[in-house]
Amino acid sequence: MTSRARGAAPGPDFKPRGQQAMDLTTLSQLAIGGLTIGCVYSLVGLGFALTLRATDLINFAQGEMVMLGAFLGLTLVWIWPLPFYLVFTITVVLTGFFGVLMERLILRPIIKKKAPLLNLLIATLGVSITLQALAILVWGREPLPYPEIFGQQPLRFLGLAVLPLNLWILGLGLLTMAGLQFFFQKTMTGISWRAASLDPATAALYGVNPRRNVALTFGLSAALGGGAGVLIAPLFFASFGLGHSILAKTFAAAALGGFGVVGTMLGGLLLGVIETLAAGLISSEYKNVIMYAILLAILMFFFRPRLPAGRSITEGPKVAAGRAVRLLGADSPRAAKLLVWGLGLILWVLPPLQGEIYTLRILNLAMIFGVAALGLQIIVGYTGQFSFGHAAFYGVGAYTSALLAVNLGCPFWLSLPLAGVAAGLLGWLCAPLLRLSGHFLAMGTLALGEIVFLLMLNWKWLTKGAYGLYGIPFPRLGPWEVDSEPGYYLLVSAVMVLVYLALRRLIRSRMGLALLAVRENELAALASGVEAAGAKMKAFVAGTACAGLAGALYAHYVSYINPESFTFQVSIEMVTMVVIGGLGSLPAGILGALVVVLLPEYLRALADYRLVVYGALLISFMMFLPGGLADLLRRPGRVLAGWLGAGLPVRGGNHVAA
Amino acid sequence: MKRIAWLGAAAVGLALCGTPASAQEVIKIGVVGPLTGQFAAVGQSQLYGAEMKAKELNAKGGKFKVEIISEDDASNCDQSVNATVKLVTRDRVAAVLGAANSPCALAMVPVTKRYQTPHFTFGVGTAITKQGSEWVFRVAVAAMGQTKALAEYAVKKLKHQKLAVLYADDEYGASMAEGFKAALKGLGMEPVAFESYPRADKDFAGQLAKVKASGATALYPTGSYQASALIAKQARQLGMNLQLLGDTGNATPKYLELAGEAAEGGIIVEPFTPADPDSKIQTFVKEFKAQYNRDPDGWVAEMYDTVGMIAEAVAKAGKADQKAIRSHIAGYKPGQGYRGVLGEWYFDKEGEATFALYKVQIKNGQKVILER
Repeated sequence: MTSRARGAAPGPDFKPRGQQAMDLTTLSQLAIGGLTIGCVYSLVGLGFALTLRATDLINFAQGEMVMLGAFLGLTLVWIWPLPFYLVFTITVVLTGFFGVLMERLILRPIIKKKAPLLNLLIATLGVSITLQALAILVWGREPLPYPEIFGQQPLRFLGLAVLPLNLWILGLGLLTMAGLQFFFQKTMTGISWRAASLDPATAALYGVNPRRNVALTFGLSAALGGGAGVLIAPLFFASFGLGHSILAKTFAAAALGGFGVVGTMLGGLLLGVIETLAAGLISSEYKNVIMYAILLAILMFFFRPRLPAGRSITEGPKVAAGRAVRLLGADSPRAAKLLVWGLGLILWVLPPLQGEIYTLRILNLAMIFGVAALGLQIIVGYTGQFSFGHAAFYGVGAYTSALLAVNLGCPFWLSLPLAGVAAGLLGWLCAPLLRLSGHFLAMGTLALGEIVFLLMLNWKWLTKGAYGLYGIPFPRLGPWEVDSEPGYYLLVSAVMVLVYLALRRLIRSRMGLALLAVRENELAALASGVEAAGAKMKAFVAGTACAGLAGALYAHYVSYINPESFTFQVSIEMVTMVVIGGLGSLPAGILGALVVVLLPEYLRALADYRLVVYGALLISFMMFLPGGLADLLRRPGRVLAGWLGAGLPVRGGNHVAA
Repeated sequence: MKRIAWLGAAAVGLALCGTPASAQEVIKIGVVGPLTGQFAAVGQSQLYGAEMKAKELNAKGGKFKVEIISEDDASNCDQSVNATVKLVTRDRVAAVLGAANSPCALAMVPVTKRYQTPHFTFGVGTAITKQGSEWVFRVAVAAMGQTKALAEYAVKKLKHQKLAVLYADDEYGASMAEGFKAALKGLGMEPVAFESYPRADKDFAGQLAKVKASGATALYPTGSYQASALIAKQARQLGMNLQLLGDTGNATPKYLELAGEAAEGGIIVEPFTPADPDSKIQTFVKEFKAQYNRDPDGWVAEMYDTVGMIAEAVAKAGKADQKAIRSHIAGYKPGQGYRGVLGEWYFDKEGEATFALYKVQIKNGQKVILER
């Protein structure tokens, strides 16, 4: 019964060629493969670059345009056996139309409200989550193969094997890029687009319709993503996670090319080739580390703003605008403050009294994230700096405390602060990144997060790699071993309150004012004698140290950690917490963490519709509550203050937002 | 998919208003696994298996009614543990199945141990049964066992001397790859190429070039079945003529569909195969196909048998009690075990099951059994 299939397996008489170095043919073969995939990176990356240039927005839904293109193309092929180039064209048009629709229905209302950049970003994240969940409902969870449109027989020339599909991808991809280049260089609309992306105000004076321009941008970006989707799906199957899996790389392609049109095209091709060659020649374990390190180096060398003030903080829309600084105005009567704190205390006491283990469990997790979110609030909400790498510091804290406890038997009261110190130290080492501004900083922190994640995965001697660390002991404080949910509730609450008080002290100090000044206008802050770089660095160290503390709390709570808990996804979740809660308010950070952790848990009942609803909620939050929950809570807070202070003169019945 | 929505809604309804009054006693079984995210298909198989056995038992009637409560964890271990806590403390399930992802199953072990709830998983990570918990049972062959069977077959039967490994850099891939390496070492050999890939990657040209340069005659890709299918395809496109080897991760029919012709000739070790002509297995295959319109895979069969074991234990004890279920199942011995579609079930002290794996080969898109 051991017979083998015809020709599929080499017979016993097959002579292996033995170890040999990689020859020129193999190298060229790799380069062709790299170019093909690079072509796809370029197309998707162009979408990123266009939206970024025109609106300063990082569009997280760009990946889902790829997915949409893949599925729409497949559906077309199913119902209608059209030639491939027609399928490609129709899909491009359809996804382009979808992009315009997305801009019109979701993004434009948010842009109109002059919401800070992060709100738009979270809205596109909501679109991304919803689209993925919808795609699962429509097309199912499992990857779908494309029918064999092209022969599987590789064409052979000069010893190279090239699939017809690869040629199609390269051909259609390059053609699209050429078309795009023609559009931007030779057509009136393209030239106006370029003018508007450089200086919207001046372009508008010359009669460029800025709104139409933004719509055009989203249409084009989506179309490019969709086109890329049709091109790679026959290669990699159509699946709901298709776009998501290449998101970071395509963004890197755009960054590599400086977010220019030609630059991104070259960046994508280059990235594809580097990636494939690195995996073939150097080390497959470290190939992504190499890629992100190159990216960081390029960012630091070429995109460091000449002026210390950078560009996008002062010119573009702000990362975080001066909203929702305090839940209760400073003028609120004392009674109102006491009432709010009392109410909070009652709410805090209820869960352990009610004694439901599951509720306590998710509250504990939420509060652990709350500690990290407090730190991120300082970095993003108060200082206006992007950070997409917060999970890395959270992870460093978790690993530090876990390793100290498991390997050295270090007690919790010592390993907890050491975890904070380790994360803060890494934050301090990474502080030069803060010279980058706006989306370059976003990209830099993203790359940093990925590198730390990959090191956790590959430093097996230290972290045990993908296996993770298990048997992390419960915290022991003197005679008290914190091994129950209510016990942990107390412990986490205590740490959270301490962190909260420390940070509140920090932001109310002179330093806090400096941070706000940097957030509002870095140039003006510099001019007023604020040492901006130092202030940013201190904020970053304080914020990352908080993440480290949260990580330690997490590690001892779940008793098993592996690198999967500290991915880019988690960083994004933390940013979502801060934005949903409300930028620039400490309690709002905790509130956001509660919502982001609790919401998916309580939406469990919706099963398949869970993520559709979660995504939709994110979008509507950003559309209708741009200031986050803090905005929502401030209103009843005001009313309350009004009632309680009825006897007292309330200054100005109609408050202007703080 | 509507079914799950309905089930989920039913579960919540039940959780909200308590069990409806009826003469039948209810055995609640919680299932934790990904129904969204990259590994959704595995979670789906797990749920289908449990669901199918539940329906079958309920159709027979009797004193007990099986109710499956499914929770999605999106392959996120925090969510797996949260869901387990919910199932154990709020729904008070008699047993927990899952998680489908082996690290998440490991993360669940402290919870099921603490709340003394029988826990069944097909996660392959070695550490799962090494946590000193008497409550966990592995209803699959662990990474070491699978890769040992695979390596010995490839070396002893197929006489391959140069074997390459290409693994996902997650816990599953690493466990399998290290297991295979250890098995080869036991045979006095080493893999000629031992390459990893980031788990979301879809282009393996670079790693395959290394495999090619190593002169390997056989390739063992391990990770998600989607990646393995892509590796098979891309190796073929690069003109490489390799004997493909696969573990239970590739045992799903979806792998064959995705890899198409590139899967031809590949050898797979699996705990279950629809190709077995045994009448018990064929009835199971037919029944599953009628309900879900595809071939069952190992994950379906493992969970199908697990629910069978739980139901048997409850029937013996006369009550849906966690301790009784555990002690009944832990008491299975060779010759006195539970007979399911996968053969006879019994567990060792650590909760590890022992059963022979099928070695199948793919011929003309069909699995042909080589030996068991």
